[in-house]
Amino acid sequence: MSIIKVQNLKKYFGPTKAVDGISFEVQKGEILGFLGPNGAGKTTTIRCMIDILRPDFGSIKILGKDSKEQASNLKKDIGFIPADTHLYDNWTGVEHIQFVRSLHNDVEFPNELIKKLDFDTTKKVEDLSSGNKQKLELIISMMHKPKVLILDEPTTGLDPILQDVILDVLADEAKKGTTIFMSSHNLPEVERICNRVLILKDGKIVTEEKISELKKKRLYSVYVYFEKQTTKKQLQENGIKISKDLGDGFMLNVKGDIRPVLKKLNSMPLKDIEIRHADLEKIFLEFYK
Amino acid sequence: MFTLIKRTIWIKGKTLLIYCLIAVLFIWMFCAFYPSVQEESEELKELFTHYPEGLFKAVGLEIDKIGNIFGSMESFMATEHYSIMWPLLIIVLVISLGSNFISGEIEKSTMEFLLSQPISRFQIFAGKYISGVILVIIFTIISVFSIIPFAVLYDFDISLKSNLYIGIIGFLFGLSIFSISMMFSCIVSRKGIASMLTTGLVILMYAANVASAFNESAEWLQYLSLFHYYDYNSALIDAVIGGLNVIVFMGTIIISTIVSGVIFLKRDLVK
Repeated sequence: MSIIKVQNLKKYFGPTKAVDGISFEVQKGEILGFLGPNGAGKTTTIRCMIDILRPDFGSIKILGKDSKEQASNLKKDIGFIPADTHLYDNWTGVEHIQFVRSLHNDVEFPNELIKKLDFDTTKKVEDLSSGNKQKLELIISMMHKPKVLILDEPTTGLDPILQDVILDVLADEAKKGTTIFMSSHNLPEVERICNRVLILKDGKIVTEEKISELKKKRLYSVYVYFEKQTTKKQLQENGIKISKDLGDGFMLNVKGDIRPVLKKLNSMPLKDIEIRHADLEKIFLEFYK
Repeated sequence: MFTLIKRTIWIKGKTLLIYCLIAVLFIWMFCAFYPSVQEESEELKELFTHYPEGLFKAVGLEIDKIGNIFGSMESFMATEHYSIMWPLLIIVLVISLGSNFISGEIEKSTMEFLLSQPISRFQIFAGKYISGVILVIIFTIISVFSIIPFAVLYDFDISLKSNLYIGIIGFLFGLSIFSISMMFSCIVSRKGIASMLTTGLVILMYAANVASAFNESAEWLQYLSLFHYYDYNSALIDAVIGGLNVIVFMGTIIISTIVSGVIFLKRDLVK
């Protein structure tokens, strides 16, 4: 059963086609990643789903209900985290929680989640770090035990430890049957928790991928430094393509499986090696031109 | 929606308290002055006759009624308090409320927070509007009827009917400007612009009312101004509220509210 069904969604801002006729479905218990570079239309799509923006065309049904016509009823079952914090600066965490509780028929106070996230509810939002604001967003979005979570880049700007905590919480929710629709700019996090991804570019869905397929489209920047002087020629003879000569080493761009390249490098007098995941923009340029 | 109203009133409570306190202090000041002003009324009447006529026209006073200013507390308050100070207070209060309620929430992105909760757009708009109405009622009651304890304290008579009428006409005037402020707040996404548009319109209406008093050929301008229908002299001195005044205020409130609601329900609620 489709929990989220978006059909031919269009949202234009003047001449800019922010979202240009996208359609997709998300099944129960699935974590769907919504990937795309900046300006691809991810946030616009999500804002249309939450009824913050009014679509120009198309329909959005969540749990079988129209996201515009039955918005208030529907939001009893939806948890939402926006791309930027949208909390009241002069309210404390507990004031936000109590306000949301009263709007959700006095649901249970989320003590367990607060403890799990190690969050101080007594501080005002203006005194919280961005990580703690995000924790509060997560608590508020999950405290009423929603059937669907809609998250707009939930880990952006957070330190890796907190990213891990949040991704673990989301993975646990999905195991309980919660459907998660999550936009992201971070390929490794999507690979870690999503079952499937939609790739969005210039307001259109470029492709839909299974995570196993996406992993093949990894792109790495490998920086290698050698004990002994090693020439370009020696590397090329080993079948390694060089992207840049760094003077004391080389930069290599590797597409897909990195293991064959590492195997070749291992046979050479390596002094140091640094492997970086390419950012999404580079991957898009490489695979989704 | 009740949760939203309760919360909105609670948040704006501090602002309301400050405005009420200022209004009460003004009332206290005028009440404290009144007995001594009354004693010196003949000298003051004489002094006022030397003032330029235009000055009285600018504040909506008729030159032949100046002699009666000190005849009763109501006429004294009409001239000193309800001509400029009270409308100024309520105008600043309602413009601040109206522009904060919608465009302020959009500007700070807290509108997204509200929209992610199980409340419809209509409930958000109605909740904010009702909160504003309640705040205007509270301000009007406190700022108008705080004269009662001071009348007892300084031992002078007041007309409850006149004060009730100035409360009604003042409330309608304040609510009309609040509704206009909400309308601009629903149209634009910046609190500053919404405030500026409402303030600009209020200044234009005030200028139209003053201009109509100075120039007979521009008399028709007064009918475009809400200040013309805010007839504090009739309400306080004669204990009368004109039917047309109520109709104009109600019309302004209804039309502005309908326009605001329609725009709020249809528009994108992001900056």
